[in-house]
Amino acid sequence: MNDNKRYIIVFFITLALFGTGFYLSNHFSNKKITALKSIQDQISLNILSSETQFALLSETTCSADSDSVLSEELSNLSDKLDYGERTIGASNPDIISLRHYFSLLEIKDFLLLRRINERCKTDTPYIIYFYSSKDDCADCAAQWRVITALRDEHPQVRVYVFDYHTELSAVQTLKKIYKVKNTLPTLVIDEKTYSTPLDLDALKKTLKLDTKPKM
Amino acid sequence: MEKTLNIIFYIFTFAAMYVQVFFLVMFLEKRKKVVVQRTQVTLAEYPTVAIVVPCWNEEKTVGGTVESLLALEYPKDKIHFYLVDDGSTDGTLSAMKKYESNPQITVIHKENGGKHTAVNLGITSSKSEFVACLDADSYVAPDALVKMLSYFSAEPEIMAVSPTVLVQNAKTIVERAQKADYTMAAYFKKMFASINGMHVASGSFTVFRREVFEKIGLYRNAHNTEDFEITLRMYANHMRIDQCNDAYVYTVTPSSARKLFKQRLRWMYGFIENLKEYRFMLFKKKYGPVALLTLPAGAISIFAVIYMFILFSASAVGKLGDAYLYYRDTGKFFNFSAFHFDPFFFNTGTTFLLLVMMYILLTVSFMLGQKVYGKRPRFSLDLIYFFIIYSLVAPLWLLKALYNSVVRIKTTWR
Repeated sequence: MNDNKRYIIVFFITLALFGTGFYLSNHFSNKKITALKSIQDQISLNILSSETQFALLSETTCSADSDSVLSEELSNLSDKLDYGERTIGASNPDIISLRHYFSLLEIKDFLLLRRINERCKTDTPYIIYFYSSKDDCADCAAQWRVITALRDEHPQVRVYVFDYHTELSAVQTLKKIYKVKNTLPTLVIDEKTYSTPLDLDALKKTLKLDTKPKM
Repeated sequence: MEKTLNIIFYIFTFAAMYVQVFFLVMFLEKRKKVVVQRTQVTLAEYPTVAIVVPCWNEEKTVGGTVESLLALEYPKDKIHFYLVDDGSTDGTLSAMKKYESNPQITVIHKENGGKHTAVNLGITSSKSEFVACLDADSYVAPDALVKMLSYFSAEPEIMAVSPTVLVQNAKTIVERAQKADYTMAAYFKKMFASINGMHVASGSFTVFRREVFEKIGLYRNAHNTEDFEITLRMYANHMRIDQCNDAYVYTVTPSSARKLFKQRLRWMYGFIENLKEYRFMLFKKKYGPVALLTLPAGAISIFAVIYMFILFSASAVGKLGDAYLYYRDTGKFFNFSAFHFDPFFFNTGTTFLLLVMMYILLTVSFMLGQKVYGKRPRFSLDLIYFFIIYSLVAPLWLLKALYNSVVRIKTTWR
């Protein structure tokens, strides 16, 4: 084989290898998006099932089991969605759509939680956390670290995370209900709104975690 | 900004892959020739050979080197050894003088002037048809010389033949990492040699026709990398160099990362400085593949390695920063929820996949290196040591070599 021919053949083989790398990466990203959609569909089904069950039956059906499973599933989905935003891209249309759907699932789960708390006289702690996806919230990263550490220590705490700048109308309504202004991060705990960041101890105190029995 | 960084990464990775794929294509083309291991070689004629052993403070190892030379399977009346003491301050001269009575050996003592002066003195002291130089910390296989000389008789246009240099007694992790490096080098050199584009005819036991020195001159200091410079000079004069994959020379390698750093700093500084002097050859077709592929690949690899090192260091520093911030904000050292064993979280990004491909190609190079020097290809821990140690230390010697070249700080042998 003459030299020039060899250089050209090697170029195209290398290009093919390179192309394979891009193709595989894209293929895996699509598979991850499909996995996220599947998880969201499953969670949606579970929430609908819980709501229906709750609507049909009386107080005697207050069960902690499905409660904690949903919490874990939502937390798992949230982690995967965060990872997807970091690796696939927060501006990817599929990821944006998934994020919107996830926000709706969170709101449905929150509403269900409130009804369970009322009906079953339970007191599952929750945090509604508003952050900014733009570069206008210097304390958001630190607040999220604190919330993550709290969640590790107290997995029974439900954390509902919403981007302040999302255009989803349900989230806009939530902001109006709790009077969330553009002073971020903002936390809603026990129907009260906190517009300044809370450190770990303050958060535990506000959630009354040291005094409440673990669920 | 991130897009620009990614594009630069892709360009460097593409270039690195191109070279590896080039070697692979060459190997597939020429595999019947390159994996030949000859058991017995006889020559129709045995030319005269002078072997020069330049020494500076090698009292511990020179004896072993000389013994290996005396064991060469070659007619005693056709081979002579010149042991040149380059002004040693230890017992090297005494160690050499033990062999003075041997009629095949001439011991020469001179004032210290550098390796190239010692080798040149040996060359000019002899009149043999072929000349080789062996470092005093290297040992030659008994059949190496006759196998290398067979290349000259088979193809008269070959002016120099390089052996396969392997690592002797690799014990420490650093030595084992270098063993993997030399194994891959056996493959790279053979592939480059097959297109007359070797990056360096090894200073350890490359055999030259005497007319090389008569036509283009003797060794020069060349920034303490005289072997690299003479290789370039030969290519600049359109001379052919080949590599004998079944002739073995065993060398002792630096045993610690610090010593390895110093050695490779000298090599890389020498590469950069000699490349500057021979830059007229770059991309000129008349100088062949060394100008079109070998030298450009070498130059690009310096910047590629430094760039990757900076990228990954920045990422590592970022992660350390995140860990500090987590500790500052929560009082905890570990964020347990950040660790996931779910396959969803496996890195399948383009950067990661391309790096995996590169490592696979390097592993293939390692195994083909084993095949080239007659060993059964199999995976070895040495390769893991190579990836880890060279990833950490190589960028540092490259950076220092570049810096030294820019600010004109010369390197030393030891």
